[in-house]
Amino acid sequence: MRRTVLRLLGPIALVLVIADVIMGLFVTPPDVVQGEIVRLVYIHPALAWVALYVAFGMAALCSVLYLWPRTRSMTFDYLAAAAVEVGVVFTILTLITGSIWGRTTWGVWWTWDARLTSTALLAVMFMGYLALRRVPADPHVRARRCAVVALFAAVDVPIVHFSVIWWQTLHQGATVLNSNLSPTIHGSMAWTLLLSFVAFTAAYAWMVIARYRIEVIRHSGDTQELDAAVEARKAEGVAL
Amino acid sequence: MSYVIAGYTITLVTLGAYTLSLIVRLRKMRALGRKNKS
Repeated sequence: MRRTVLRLLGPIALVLVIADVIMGLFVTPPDVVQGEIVRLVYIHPALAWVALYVAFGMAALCSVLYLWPRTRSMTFDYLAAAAVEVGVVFTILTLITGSIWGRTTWGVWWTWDARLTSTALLAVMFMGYLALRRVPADPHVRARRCAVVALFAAVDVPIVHFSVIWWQTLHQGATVLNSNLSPTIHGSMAWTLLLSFVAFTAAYAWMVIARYRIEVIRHSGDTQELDAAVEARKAEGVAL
Repeated sequence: MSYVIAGYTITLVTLGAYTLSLIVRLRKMRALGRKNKS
């Protein structure tokens, strides 16, 4: 059952993303104020949702579970690594699509707006996390260091979320999850927006599973080598 | 509309390329794993 779901996840995500693109480009109407550029709403917020809340949220949760002595397991370290790598890809795409949107609505590719700056900072911090993973160290030492860095970087996630409320920003506030909980988007536009969230979340899930498997196979090789080395040392008569 | 097409193209090409890289890496790792076992 689990295997079937995992095998179907990739094709399902692909179909959902294709459906989102078709709906976003050809079915939904242009906006009264923004015109055709509003079609970016069917990719940009979903990319941001996956990057900020799903990927980095999962990385933070897995880091806590790794640091907590009762739940400490390398599985959580591998899951956090997978989530961060995929999250960085989604964050960079969020910044690029946001920049394109900004060029047409604000007239500039980039501005040091609180939302934009805090998102860029988040991307840089999690790139630092990925760099830290490449520093040679004992697996548990590396996992502990990375978990601490992930938690430190994750502090920026609520800052990104509330930046449009705390500071005067060019970036607009929430469209769906606003303070009144009354979405300012309706009809086919609202459904396509919802579809984009489901599609990119499914794509993210497939990517994280694939990346997690790579991490597990890579480190199972390390474990086999370590076991072989321990056996060799035992055979030499060294007490271990 | 050209900005919209650019945004969609960059997103889809990047996600597609990243997905392909994951598939290639996974296959390589599985092949290495099988080699190590044998």
